[in-house]
Amino acid sequence: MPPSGAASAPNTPIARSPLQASATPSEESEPSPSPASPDERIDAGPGRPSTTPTEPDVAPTDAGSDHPSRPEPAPNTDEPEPSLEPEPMGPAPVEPEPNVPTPPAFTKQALIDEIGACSLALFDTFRGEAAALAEAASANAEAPSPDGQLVVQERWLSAMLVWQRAELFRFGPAAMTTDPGGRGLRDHIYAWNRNPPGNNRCRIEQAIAGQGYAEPGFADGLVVVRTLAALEFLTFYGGTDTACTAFDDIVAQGTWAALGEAELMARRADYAHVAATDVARRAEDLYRAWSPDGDDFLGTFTSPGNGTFVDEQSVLDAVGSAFFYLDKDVKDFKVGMPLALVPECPKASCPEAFESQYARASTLLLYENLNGFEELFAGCGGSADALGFDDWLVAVGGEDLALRMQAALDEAQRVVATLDPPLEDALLTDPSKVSAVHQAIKGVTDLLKTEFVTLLDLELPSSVATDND
Amino acid sequence: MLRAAWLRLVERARRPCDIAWLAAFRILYGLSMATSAERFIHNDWVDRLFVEPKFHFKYFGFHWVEPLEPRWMHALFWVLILLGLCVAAGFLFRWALGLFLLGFLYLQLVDVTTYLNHYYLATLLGALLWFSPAHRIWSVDAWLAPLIRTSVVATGFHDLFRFQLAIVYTFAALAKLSSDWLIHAQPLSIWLASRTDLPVLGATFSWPGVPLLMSWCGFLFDASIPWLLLYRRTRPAAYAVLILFHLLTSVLFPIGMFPWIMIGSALLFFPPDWPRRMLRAFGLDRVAEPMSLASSTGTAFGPLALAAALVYATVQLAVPLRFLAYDGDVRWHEQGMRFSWRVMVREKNGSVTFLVSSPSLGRHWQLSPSRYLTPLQEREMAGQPDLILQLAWHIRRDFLARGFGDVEVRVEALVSFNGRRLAPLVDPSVDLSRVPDGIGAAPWILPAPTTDPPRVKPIGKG
Repeated sequence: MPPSGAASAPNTPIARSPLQASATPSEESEPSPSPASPDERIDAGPGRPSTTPTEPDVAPTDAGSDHPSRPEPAPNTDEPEPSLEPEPMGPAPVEPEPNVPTPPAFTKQALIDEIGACSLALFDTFRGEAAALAEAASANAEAPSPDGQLVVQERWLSAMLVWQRAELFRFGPAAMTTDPGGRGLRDHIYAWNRNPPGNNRCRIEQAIAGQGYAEPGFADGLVVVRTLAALEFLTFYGGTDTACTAFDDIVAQGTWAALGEAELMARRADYAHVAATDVARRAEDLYRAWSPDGDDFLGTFTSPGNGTFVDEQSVLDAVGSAFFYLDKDVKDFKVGMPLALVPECPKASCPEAFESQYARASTLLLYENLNGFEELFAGCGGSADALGFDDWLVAVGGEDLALRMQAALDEAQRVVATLDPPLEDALLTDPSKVSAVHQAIKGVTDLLKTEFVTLLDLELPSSVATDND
Repeated sequence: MLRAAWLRLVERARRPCDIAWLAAFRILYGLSMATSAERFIHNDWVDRLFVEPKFHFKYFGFHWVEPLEPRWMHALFWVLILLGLCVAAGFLFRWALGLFLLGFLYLQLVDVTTYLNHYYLATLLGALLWFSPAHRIWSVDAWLAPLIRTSVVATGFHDLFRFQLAIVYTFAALAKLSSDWLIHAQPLSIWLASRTDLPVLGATFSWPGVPLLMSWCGFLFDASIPWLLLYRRTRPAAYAVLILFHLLTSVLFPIGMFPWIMIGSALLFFPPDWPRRMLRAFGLDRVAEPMSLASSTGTAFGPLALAAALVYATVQLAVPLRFLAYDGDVRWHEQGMRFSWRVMVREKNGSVTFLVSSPSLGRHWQLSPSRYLTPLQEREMAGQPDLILQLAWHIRRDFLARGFGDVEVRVEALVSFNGRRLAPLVDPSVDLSRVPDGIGAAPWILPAPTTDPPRVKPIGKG
């Protein structure tokens, strides 16, 4: 079951989008018990069944299969989810599958090939989403209108949901330049780095006031005023106030105040166009970096024994490192920070630290992070034959761990999917629900950081390979 | 009878032997230490291990040791390279080696998470070398001051070096006397499972029984190699096996200079004149010839030196055995783990969360160690309770400094030990920020899991 309440309460005076209209019965952040509408359905791209906000919950564990607890492929149905009740947990009846050929023995190379193909497909999907976003932003910039802005909002959310899965695929060109094959491209697409987007709002507003976005060097400037993070603010925030203080030039010199509402809307639309075009270009760069028709990182990835990856294990070490996004970024920051589990939140809670401040889609984004994790862990094809790290665990004798990890992941997905109201509201009305999300994700990351890395002997590149004895 | 034994020992220790082995060892030691220091610079480890960490774990009693400024830390490694080369060349030998040891020791004291058995061994061998007259032949010192030249050295030095190496292998063998190693082939089979990519050999790791066979080979090697090297008839074959063994470990595991140090050091088991024989074999007869000038001071190893050597030997025997003073599995609670030659007998990975609470503010925090530690530090700390304790203290101080007042720090540390299911390492109900550090028993460390480790099936290369 998908999380509810996507974009439930944008703090914007613009007209409500179908997303918002379907998610909330009122303008303000009311709890949103209704399921997301079919309009919210997002195409997950090739190689994977459609992941939609109305997608049924993941399948219960399949203890009897060769593939431990693999989620069933989500049916690509147009029917809305009939019930908000979570699927019952526990083992599902195993359908006998006569005449099913025995799967070939697991090999690391096969897993690498699968992950490589998944990565390419995912980045291809994203570049399509980014192009559509840029197109919508362009149309709205030419003739700004509430309807045009709604389309941009929809395209932003659509792209963002794909990207949130891609956040888990941070190896190769998307990774930091210090990682194997890393080019740091991720930060040019989505520069959310454990800081709430509001932290950079003044910088964005400075760019609006000074039309810095129209300057030639904008695409090479600060990432915090570009990427999907800035686009969220530009697209979903419609207020005329500013986060800059009286000491900032645009306030002190009256530049901001001189902008009328219409001018502000036009500039935001222009800016969004520039930023979306940049994201689309970066998405294209990322795809081409992987593509055999471009820089062919896919070849480097799938043919270890080169200057980047010495062997198959080192490729999987890099992928294993990417799993840790769920621990540091998702558990500690996306959920832990709003819950005030870290001293940087000086209050009893910090709702302003949620990832999606303006679209208020933090729950959906979190859910897609878990889906991205699952694609790496259980395979991205969605079918029982899809190879994932769980198959590797089974191959080395860790069937039990594979089952427990899948069960923990299922539980985390269930807790997020059934979260009602969404994170932003739950933190204010019933923080224990947000704590349950944190705890459920910790259930996954505890296994990840202990038995998983031990059994597969994953050496994480970021842990700097020093001597041992 | 005791007196007779003592006299026999004194007699043996004083007996002169060819000094060539000692000079060769000095050269090899100096070169390997210079290489070790160079690797830190080359691999960017100076920054990553000593500069980047915001917090450093300290040895008990050495909390006052602080890292230098980054530029001086880098400079120190260049100085160590220079000093290592001076040791190899025998130039200002005692000054060079003394300063090298001070610098090297300092680096080890800066952060416990950088501890390696072979750094400890290098320190001990360097200390023994400092007391020896290793610069009195084939050195710049001897070239500049011919009066110090000698052809002989007391056998006591030779015995002491051999003893030190035998201790390493013997305790490494004793550490393998566990069902994990000898019955379940753990953690070796976990490591081999990830190395099936290795050309030629890698394919064999997925054969049934190979990890167990290799575990037993490792145990038997460690247990027997000092004795086989001591015995003249088995020595050549044993040394060949030793070279093969250490080359294999260097290919399989990231253990840096350790194999090379052991291969070079094991030459100590050959007769003292082995370097001369080798030089002659290469036609360098003139270099190989013993000097006509033989100084008697080179043989000095009196009763006082012998007594000091015996004290040293006793300490070297006692320190690795100190784990017997603690209940439980030393590989789990780690009390008595360091300085004990328990080389590569455990694989631990942990998920540690520091649960901080302020009774006065009524607030609770859950902190990841990554707030304070580098990934390497975090990984090392996760399996070592004394380091968890240190960070708990640090967090309490940090919160105090941030103005949160005095806090309590409890820890949820879930650890997988040699592939077992994760288990709590420390008692999560204990406020560790009030537990004093020390060498006494630590009741806040929970018992080790008693289940067998998993059977890991290495998979062949596709």
